[in-house]
Amino acid sequence: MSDAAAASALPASRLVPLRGAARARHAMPAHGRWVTALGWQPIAYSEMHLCAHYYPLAIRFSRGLPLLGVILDEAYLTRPLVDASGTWQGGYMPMAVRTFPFQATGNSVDPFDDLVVPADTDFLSAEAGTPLCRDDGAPSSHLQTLHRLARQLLDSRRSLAAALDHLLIARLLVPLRQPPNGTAQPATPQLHTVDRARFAEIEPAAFAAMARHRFASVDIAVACQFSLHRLRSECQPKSARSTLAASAAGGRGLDFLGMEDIAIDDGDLFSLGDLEATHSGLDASGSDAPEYPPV
Amino acid sequence: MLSESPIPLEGDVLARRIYAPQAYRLVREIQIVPIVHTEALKLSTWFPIAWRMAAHGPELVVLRALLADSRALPPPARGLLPLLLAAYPFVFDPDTLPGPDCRWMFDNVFADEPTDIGAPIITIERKPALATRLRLDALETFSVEFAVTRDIGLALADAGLLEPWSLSFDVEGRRIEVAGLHIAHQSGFETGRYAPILARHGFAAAQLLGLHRLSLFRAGLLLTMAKATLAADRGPQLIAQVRVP
Repeated sequence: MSDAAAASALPASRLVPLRGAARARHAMPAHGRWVTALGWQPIAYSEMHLCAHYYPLAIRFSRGLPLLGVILDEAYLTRPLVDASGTWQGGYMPMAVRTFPFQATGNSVDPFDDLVVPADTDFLSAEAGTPLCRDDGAPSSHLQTLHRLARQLLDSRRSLAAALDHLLIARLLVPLRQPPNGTAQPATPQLHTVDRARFAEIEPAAFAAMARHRFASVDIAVACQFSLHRLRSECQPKSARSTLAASAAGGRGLDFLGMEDIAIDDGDLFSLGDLEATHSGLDASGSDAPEYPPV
Repeated sequence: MLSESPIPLEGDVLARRIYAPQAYRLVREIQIVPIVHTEALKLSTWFPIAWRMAAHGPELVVLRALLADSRALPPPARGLLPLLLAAYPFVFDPDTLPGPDCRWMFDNVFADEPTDIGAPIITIERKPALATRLRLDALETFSVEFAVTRDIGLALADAGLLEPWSLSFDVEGRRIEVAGLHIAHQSGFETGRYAPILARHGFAAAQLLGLHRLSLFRAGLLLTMAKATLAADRGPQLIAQVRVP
């Protein structure tokens, strides 16, 4: 299995180089419902902090290797990503969604040779959509953008491997619970998050070891926990739920500051996407994740 | 730490009434509020968390808005109050640092927008009313966590890991500027420079630094709210321009 295939949450499909695909246009569906059907998609480290405000982060395993991504399956989420008419209201759109179904292999600087697509994808068309090549046969600016983002995802996946291994070594990963009544999308794999109780019990010396060369593993662990406010309570890992309940019962301070009421504050009572869409193009889905600091 | 005219919480002051925090102008409009590290988990969902240089060292703060105007706060987050605002008008003695022995005081200000008749500070049985107890609980929680919060800030400053955060924008012909804030050194996160901080302060520092990084991505929302607020003051035509990117 290729690096690209490993990162996809979709059922195995034969991936072919873009050069071999006869259809020369990128045809995205007009409605946003297809995004939620993806279930889970990988993210780049550069967009992790922003994504954590909009989606639950989750880790899936592919061939035993942990991969960091976001949950798009609405059965897991505290809010819908698309409205009844199919209009996107999820806020920031991750790179993997914007580049779907293109995936970089890292084998070439030429987008036509480097990018692969599922052989049977509906996202390529001979007539409709955005052209992938210019009249002279060179990659279009749209394809160059897709390629740049797909390479960024690939590079990030490789650079995060060690950080995610830290979480594995520290036994911090705990499975999410399936949504009730079998409502999950077929494409959504078994997903994991960071166990809050185990993370809180890590010794200072071990934290220092995790951050000895880079802060990334600690960063990912905190972002995973933070993003749980976007995850339905029925899907929260058992250990995290029991820890929060115990904290709330045992101490006034933790009760005051715990995460459970974040889910209440931030769930169905209002839509962050609506708020931001109303006021401006903040976190516009057409751009890369913003540079750090974000303003 | 956060008060305009603090007076001792004793004598005739105990006969005063208190109102919901939002009844006080300071709570509605204050942009930067000191917090403790345990508040970061909740506040970072809506607001940037940073440090401000105070006389006693780096002070962990939350930035609630870019304008001193309650309309510049994200509407869903207007009720999300840091501990010091939840406790208001009860405040710490400004002459001492929060801690186990710190004196609680009363900010002698007028509740300019009360929404109800308020509550007494003490009941007719001479016991603290529920509203009083909840506020004093908030102050106590703050004072318990203040030392750890301060130590983390000092450790970051001593290691040269705080850098200025420039927040300056031209919006609707007006200069918006929030000065004096610092953030954790960004390029340091790609190195091992934070390892000694974690070795010393463990989970508290690990979580705070992670949440701090996440929280900075709420600054864009505050800018959006500031633009909308200023546009509203200019009239309907400009509101439309702001709302349609």
